[in-house]
Amino acid sequence: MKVRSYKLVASLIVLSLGASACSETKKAETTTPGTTMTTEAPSTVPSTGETTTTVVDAGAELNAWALTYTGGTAGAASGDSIKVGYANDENFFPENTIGIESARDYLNAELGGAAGKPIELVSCSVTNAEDGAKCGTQFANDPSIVAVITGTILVGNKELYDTLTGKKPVIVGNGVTSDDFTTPAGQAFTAGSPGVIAGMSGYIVSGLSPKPKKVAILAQNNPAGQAAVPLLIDPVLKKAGIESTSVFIDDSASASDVQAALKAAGADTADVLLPIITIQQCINVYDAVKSLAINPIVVTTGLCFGTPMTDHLKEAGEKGPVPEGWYFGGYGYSYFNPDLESGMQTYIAKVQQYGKPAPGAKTLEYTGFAGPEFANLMTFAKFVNTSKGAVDFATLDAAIRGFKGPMMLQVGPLNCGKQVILGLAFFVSVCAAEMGIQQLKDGQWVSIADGLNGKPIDVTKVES
Amino acid sequence: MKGSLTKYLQWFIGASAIVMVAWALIDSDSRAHFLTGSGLASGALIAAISLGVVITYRGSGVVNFANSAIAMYIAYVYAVLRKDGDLFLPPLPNPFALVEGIVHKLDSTSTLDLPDWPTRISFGPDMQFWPALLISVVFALLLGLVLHFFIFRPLRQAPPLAKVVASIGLCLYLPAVIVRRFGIQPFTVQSIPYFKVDRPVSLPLGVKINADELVLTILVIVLTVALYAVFQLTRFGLATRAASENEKGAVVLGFSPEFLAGANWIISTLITGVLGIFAATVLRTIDPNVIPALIIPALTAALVGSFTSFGWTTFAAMVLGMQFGLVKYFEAQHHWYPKSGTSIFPGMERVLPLVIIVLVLFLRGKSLPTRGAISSGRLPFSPTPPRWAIRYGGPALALATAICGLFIFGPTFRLALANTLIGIIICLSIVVITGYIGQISLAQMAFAGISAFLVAKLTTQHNVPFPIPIFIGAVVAMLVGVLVALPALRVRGVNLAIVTLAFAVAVDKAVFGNQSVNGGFVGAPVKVPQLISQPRDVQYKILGIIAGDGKQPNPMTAMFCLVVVVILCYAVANLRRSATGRRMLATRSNERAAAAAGVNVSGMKILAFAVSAFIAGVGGAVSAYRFGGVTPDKFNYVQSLTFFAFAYLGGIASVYGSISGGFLVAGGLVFTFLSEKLGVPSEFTLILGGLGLVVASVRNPEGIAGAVRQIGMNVRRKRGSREGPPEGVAAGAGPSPSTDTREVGAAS
Repeated sequence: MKVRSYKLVASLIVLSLGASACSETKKAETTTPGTTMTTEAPSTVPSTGETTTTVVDAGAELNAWALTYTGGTAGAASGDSIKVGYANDENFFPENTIGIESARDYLNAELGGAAGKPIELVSCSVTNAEDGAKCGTQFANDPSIVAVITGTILVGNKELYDTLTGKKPVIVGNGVTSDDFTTPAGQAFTAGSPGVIAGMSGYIVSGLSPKPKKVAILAQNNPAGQAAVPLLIDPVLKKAGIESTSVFIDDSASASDVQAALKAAGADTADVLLPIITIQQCINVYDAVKSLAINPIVVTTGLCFGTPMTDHLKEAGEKGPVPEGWYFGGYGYSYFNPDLESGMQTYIAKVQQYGKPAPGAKTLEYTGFAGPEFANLMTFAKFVNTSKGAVDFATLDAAIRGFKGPMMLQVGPLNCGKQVILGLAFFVSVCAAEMGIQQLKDGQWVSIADGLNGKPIDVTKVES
Repeated sequence: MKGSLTKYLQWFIGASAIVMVAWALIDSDSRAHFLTGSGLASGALIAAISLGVVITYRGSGVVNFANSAIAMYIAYVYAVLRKDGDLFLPPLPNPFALVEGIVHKLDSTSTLDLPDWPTRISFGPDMQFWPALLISVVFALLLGLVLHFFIFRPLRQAPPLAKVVASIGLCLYLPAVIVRRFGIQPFTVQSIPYFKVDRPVSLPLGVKINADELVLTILVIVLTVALYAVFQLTRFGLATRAASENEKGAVVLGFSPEFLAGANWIISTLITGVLGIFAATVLRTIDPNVIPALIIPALTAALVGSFTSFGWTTFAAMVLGMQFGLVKYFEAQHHWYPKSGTSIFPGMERVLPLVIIVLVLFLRGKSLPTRGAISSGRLPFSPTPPRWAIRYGGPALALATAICGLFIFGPTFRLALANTLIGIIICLSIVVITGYIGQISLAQMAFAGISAFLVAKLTTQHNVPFPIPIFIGAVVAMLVGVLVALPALRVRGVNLAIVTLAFAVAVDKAVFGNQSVNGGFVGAPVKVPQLISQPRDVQYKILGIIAGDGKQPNPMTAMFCLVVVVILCYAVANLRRSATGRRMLATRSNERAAAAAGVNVSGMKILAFAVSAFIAGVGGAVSAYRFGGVTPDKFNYVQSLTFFAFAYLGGIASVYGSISGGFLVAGGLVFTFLSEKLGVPSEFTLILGGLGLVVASVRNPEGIAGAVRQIGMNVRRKRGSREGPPEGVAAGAGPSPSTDTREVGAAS
């Protein structure tokens, strides 16, 4: 009897955990005397801090831009929905979801969806390698899903792409692993990490004055990080006669480890520090630079943007969203200097209008990968509008592979499947070859070399 | 002669180590990267974890693999209180949600909305330092009590395996709760008032250190001295030491080992929690990765201190923290540093703990001390597979699986079936090493990964045809397994678990992280025969019946996995039935008795490691073919821990247990069912797995297989009591200590 009751309880626990797993995402608030009990799901990315940008005009001009870009019709979408598969790692990169869901809601409410029909996202979270195959299989086998857009996935990418190759048109979102840039399954309408990193190398060589003599590189100790340094950075610096020293660190490296790594890389005597790392390590680099009392020029990527950095700087008594004076490589436009032509103003206005904070978060995180993901769904709608509602594999796949740009929020033309970056032809899914560099200087964002000042860096022209 | 040579070698290694440390301190360039503020701080972080490990071990005999996870959890409690004024709660089962779900299932138009469990208790917008610290300390105290009374007290007389398993369960569960609540993004930790975090302080020898790092370092040193004093000078400390050396003796002297264990758990959790809070403040941010990863160097430091000396433990932790900067300096600045192609050889700083562990084991000259417990419990019963199961049960199960995979399952469950089958292979490898011979190996996925990456090289670079790479990969994994077995000849139980875990981390970072192994941008693809290639929309006609639904995944992929599983299940079942299997069990029961009975104990251990690594290697190779490529994330050390957890949950001592374990793995049939039918997200795999492991280790050490067998026995017993005792029931009546003794006799 005792054993039986244990088993009954155990079964109920599993079943109720499952049920409560779903119910926890609902937000409700009950008050008990003295304390407040909030029933909400986890906070993954709390807020963007205080550095939000006010967009001047959230009205007709922005919608006009969006209608021109997508080729849609003003008004709400109606009828049967067009289903799009969406795979993302929700634990690490919830901002992708904020971006794509805002775009869906905006398209459906104001831009006539895709060819007049509402877009429905079929989401699948990839948090382990098995999930990659599972999501891919789910999408590939569902005839009602017409295309797949990926977010950012750290594991299971290969399994996901393998199942989708030749089965569904794929727009590769914000890739960070090798598979994202070498997969034949689809195309990424950005310069991706290879383009941005190679562009940053190019900027160090030809953009900085005086020309640096020594560069300290801090890279992530994973296959992509280890491959990036010898293929995308060292050859460029070597060709220009610049000495470089690289050190690799794990995801789990502590602040003290990062400080030791910077010292080992010679950051204390280097002219330029080039960290190609995640936001956690960016924060550690900021602290280490202060602790070591050194002042190199820091050139890094947009991965250093985000709430944790903003919160940390606030805690350290600084005001900006990112460390003052650092240079940031990205896709050529700025969340902090939004312009109309690239679609940035439209994006910021609409993500603020339609976006919902990540589950449990208090404010909306819309920097980082949210923008490009918003742009990807807008571009998908453009393809469907252009094809007058044809959503068969051949039509959409051809549209994706043949897209020449301009791409929302990405500078420069696209040349899908044919990009050769620093003589390397295996980045077959990278479409864009231009990137931008911006700097936070005296509390203001300055365009150094980007789409805003008309001087983006063309990665295909970087010498190695 | 052999003894004196060993002694000379020990002296040589010891002297070399002293010379190397002296050189690192004398050479100005090396000193500048070895004796640094960041190195000291890093060492203090490691020491903060390892001190808790030592206290727990001295007090209760538990080597707590979860100590860093506990530190992280309490640090989160503090950080969230400071920032948001909330005390977060772990996910709790909500029966209302079940009712809600059933109602919605029956009536899709229903708007029934019953209350949810709270996920946090809010005390206001944010909280000042002292109240947050106070609540965190109270939380740590309660956590210590819970851990003692509900988990480790019931396990006091359990074998080391059960304690290791419980702590690994916690080690998986606590970070999984954090991921569920806060995601993986870094969480800002507000600084402790009273000292400025970014003001460097100058120390002698040109060392500069941040104020908060210095405070943590001093705190660790003060605690080390205080703990030394407490354990040397106070009655409580002396009693704990007495109990840790001989519980029986302590009882005779009038001390209560239970009270001592409980008190030490509370002290350990408190110290770990407070140091965790300080450590998080030094780190400025906290996430579920950084602090838990410190467990490997922390265990290494504790091992250097023999799990008893606070001074040596802290010293070793400091050296381990400081070596990081020196290794990175060599990596970046010295041409002689090992290279892999054009890149540096990665992860050497993670190899060092393994080297230290192996050297310590060698220098000790004898195995590390184990506690003299009042009584030591038995390992899970390892039943002999009955003849009917081998003749009829196995084939029937295989046939049923094939029918499901070919004709019944849809794509999602076909995929889950393949995951389950690969999981069974890895669990089988754990059954051999842990279930049959009692050695705790936490490196099974390292063996699997070595084989998988080799398969990738063999198929793409050398065009070796299928299935030859599977055998080559497995044989190489087996050879590596034999190498890892060498320390097993000197250590056992929990010490071996530490060695193998350090090995898994070293292989993960230095081998799988190596570009020439993982292929960098190009990856490590595998050439897969069309017949078993997973991403194919195919149907087959088998005996006139259409197999498959023409959708991915190819049903033949799962059939390929099934064939391998059947072969291995029979091999492992027959191993258990053979004289070799009985010798293994004899070794597991009592090494001395086994040796006295003529069993070659060393040979048995090496053989078990070889067989186990071979099976894991087959699992890695099958996984490589199944996915058409190999990536390091599938074979990292966390995967080794996770598979160990599921193997134990399934039942670690039998083939049936490994089959049950395979059902439970991530993406396997059980979690796919939970996900598809009940909506449990995949991130609950580790929460339920970790929790299940803790519960299983306390309530049901024989896992699911043992529970099912027990039910069967109860049914037979009831029937027997009605019909009279049938012949042979006593012989199969379960886990009596005499079973193993009888087997020793048979083996000899």
